[in-house]
Amino acid sequence: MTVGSLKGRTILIVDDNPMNRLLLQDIIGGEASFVEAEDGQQAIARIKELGTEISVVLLDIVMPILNGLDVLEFMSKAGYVDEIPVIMISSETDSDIVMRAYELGASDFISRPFVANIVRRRVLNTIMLYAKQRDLVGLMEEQVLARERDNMLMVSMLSHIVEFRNGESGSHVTHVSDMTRLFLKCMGRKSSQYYLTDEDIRIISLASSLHDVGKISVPDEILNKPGRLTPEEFEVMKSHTVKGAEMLASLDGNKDTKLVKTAYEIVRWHHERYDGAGYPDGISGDDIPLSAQVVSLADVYDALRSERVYKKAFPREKAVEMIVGGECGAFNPVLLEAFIESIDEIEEVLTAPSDGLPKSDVADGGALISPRSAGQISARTVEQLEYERQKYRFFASMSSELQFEYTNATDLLVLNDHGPGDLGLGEAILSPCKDASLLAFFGKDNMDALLEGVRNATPENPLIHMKIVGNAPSGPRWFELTARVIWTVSSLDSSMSALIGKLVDINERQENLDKLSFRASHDSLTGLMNHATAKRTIGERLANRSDKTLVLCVLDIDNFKAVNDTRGHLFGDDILTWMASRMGGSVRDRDLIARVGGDEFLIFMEVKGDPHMVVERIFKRICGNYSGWDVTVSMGVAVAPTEAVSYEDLFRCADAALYVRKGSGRNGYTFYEGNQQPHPAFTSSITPIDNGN
Amino acid sequence: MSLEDCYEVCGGDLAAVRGRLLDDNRIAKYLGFFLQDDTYELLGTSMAQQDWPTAFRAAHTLKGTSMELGLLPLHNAAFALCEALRPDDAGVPKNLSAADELKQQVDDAYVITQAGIALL
Repeated sequence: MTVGSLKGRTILIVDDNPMNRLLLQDIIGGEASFVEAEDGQQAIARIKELGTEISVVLLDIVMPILNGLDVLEFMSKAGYVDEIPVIMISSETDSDIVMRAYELGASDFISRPFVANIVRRRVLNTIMLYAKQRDLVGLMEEQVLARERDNMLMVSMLSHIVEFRNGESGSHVTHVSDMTRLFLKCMGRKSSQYYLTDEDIRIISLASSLHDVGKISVPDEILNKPGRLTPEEFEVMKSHTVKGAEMLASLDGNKDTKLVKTAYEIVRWHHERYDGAGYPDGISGDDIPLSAQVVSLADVYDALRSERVYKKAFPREKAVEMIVGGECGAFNPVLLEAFIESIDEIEEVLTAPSDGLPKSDVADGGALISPRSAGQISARTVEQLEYERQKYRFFASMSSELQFEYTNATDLLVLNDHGPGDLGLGEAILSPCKDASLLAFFGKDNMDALLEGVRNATPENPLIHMKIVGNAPSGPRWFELTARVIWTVSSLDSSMSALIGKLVDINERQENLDKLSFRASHDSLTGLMNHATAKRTIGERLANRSDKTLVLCVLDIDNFKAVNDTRGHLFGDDILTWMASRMGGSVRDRDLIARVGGDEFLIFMEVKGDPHMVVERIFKRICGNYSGWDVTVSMGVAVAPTEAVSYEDLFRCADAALYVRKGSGRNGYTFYEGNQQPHPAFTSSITPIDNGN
Repeated sequence: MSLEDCYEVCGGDLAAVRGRLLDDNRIAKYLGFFLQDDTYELLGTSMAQQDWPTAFRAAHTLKGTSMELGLLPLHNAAFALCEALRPDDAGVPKNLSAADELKQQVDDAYVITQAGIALL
C-alpha cells in the first residue's frame, strides 16, 4: 500500500441505485477494491464488519431504511468517523443537509452530477490525508514505544546493577514488577478506591524495578556481609530507602515526571508497613502510597519464595500463610485479598522462565538482552530476613529466652542465646543427647523427661512443657522449657524430623512464687508451718501411712501470759522464736513442727516402736532457759491408732491430753489414753496420767 | 448511430457530459444501463399505490441518473416531480395536487429519451 495510490484501498460505496454504484466504481478506477451497500442498514453492517480496512466511504443521502445521515450519525457515535473518512455524495444542495453532514464528521461533499476527475481526485486526496494521519500516528506510536523500550532498558539495567551488587539473581526485579501489575489490577477490580488506569499501572510497574536503587549507597562490606549485621550496620542497610529517594529527588529537571515521582514513593516507602511498624518514616495505612504498599508485598513474597544460600524457598502455602498471618508485617487488607485472589497468576509469573525484563503492555515482544546469573543470593532478602531476625532477637532478649532447634537428620542442636545470662553452652551441639556440657546443665533426669515427652508427642498434641532447674554457671536456676515436635510428611509415620523450642529463665518468677507460697503456708514470726498447712500435710500422711507409729504432740509454753506481762510482748515474741528453733533442733527432718496459734505448737512424728522414749527426749530438749527466763512446756500426746483416723480426731485427743496435763500441774507431758496403745503407765480410764516429772 | 444523434433526439447536453465523464464508451455504456434500470417503473407503481416515500425516492433517483447522463428534459421533469413529492416536516408530500400532471411530463420525457437511446 503506497501513499498516493488507490491500490489496495477498499472503498465502500453506499447508494440505493445500482447504476450510481457502478458509475462511481467506473470513475474511481479498478486499482481500488469496492464494497457495496444498497441502504444505510447494509452500510452499517459493512462498516462493523470491515472496520478500518475501509479506506473511505462514499455515502448517498437519500436511501431507503436508514438514510445517509443516519449512517453518518452511527459512525460518529461509534467513533468510526475518526478512523474512516466519509464523502457524502448527493444531488441535494440543501445547505442544511450539507451542514448537518459536516457536523456529523463528513470529510467532504461531492455533489452530482459527477465530474469524473474531481471525484477521483477527491477520493484519492481524502484517502491520502487519512492514511498520512494514520501512518503518522503509527509512526509516533512506534517512536513512543521505542523510547519506552529504551526507558525500560535503562531502568532494567540500573536495577540489575543494584541487584548484581547485592548478589541477587536478576529475576527479582522482574518478579516484583510483574506482581505489582497483577496486584494493582486486582485491587482496582475489588475497590474503586484503588482503581488505576492502565497507564498508571504501567508506570508503577516500571518504577517498581527501582525499589532498591538506594542500595548503591550501601558499602560492599555491609551489603555482602556473609553473617549477621550489627545494629549499626543494619541502620546503614536501612538507609537505602532514604538515600535512594534523595537520589531521585536530586534529578534536575526530571523530578516532576510521573515516573520519577512514583519511583520516589516506592524507593522511600517500600519498607513501610500498614500498621506503621516499618521504616524509614513509620507512616501507616493509606498514608503509604499505594505504589509502595504493593511493591512491598511483592518484594516480600518473592523473597519468601526464592531459594537462598541459608534457606530453601518456602513452599507457596507456607509463604502465603506467613504473609497472611502477619509474620512479615501488616499489609492493606484489600491488598491481601488481591494477593490471595491472584496467587495463581503470581505463581505463573514466578515460575515462568524470565527474560529479565518486566512485562509491559507496550513493550511486549521487545527483544532485549538481559544479563542474568542464576542461584545468587539476594542480599535484599537477607536484609529483609535479617530485619525480622533483629526484631525477634530484640523481643527474645526482653523475655530472657534461649531458642533452640534440633534436627533429626543432622543430629545437631542449634542454640540462639539472646537472653542476658550465658548458660555455658555452645551455639551448636552435635549429638546433644550425649553432650557433656548439655547434660551438666540439663541434668540426666530432665533430659530423660524431655526425651520421654518427645516420644509421647503426637501431631495433634506436639507441645512439650517442662519446668526444670538448670545448672547455670551462676548456680541452679529455674527455667521453663516449651518445645514443639515437627514432623514432615515423609517422617510422619517414623520419628520426628525436628524439635524447636525455647528455654525461658523463670528463676525470679519461681523464687517469688516460692516466697509467696511459703508465706501462705508458714507463720511469719517463727517461720514454722502454720496450722492450716500442718493440718493438710498431716492429713495426707495419715491417709498414706506406713507401718510406723504416728505421734502428734500439742504443746503450750507454761505461764506465757506472765512472760508478756512482765517482760513485754517483744520478749514474748523472742521466746516464741527461740522455742521454734529449739523444736526444729529437736526433731528429725521428716518430722513436722508447726505453730498452731499464740503460744501453742505441734509436733508430728513417725517413730519406730515405743514413742515414749522419743517424746521424753524431745520434751527435755525443748525446755530450757532463755535470757534468764526458765521456759517450760505442757504437752499432750496422742498416738494414732492403726485403723484410719482423721487429723481432727487425733488433734482432739492430743488437745484433751494437754488439758489433762495442765490440770494436773504444768511442765510435763501426758499421753492420751487410747485402747490401741496399751502402756503400763496409762490408767484404764480416759483420764491420762502423768508419767513425766 | 452516434452519441450526437442520440442526444439530438433526447435533447441532452452531450458536450457537458463528455466534459465530466470523459469517455464516449463510458457514456454509451451508462445510457444502456439507464434503459435497463427499473427506477422509472418503480416510480409508476409506487405512485399508483400512493406510496409517496418510495415515489419520492424513485423520482429523486431518476432525477440524479438523468442528470448524470445529461438527459436534460427528463431531468427537468423528474426534478419538478421530485420537489412536489418531497416530504415536508410532517412527512407529507409538499405538493401532491401537482403530482399527476408532473408525472405525465416525466412520462412524456421518458418516452422521448427511450427513443433517443434506442437509436444507439
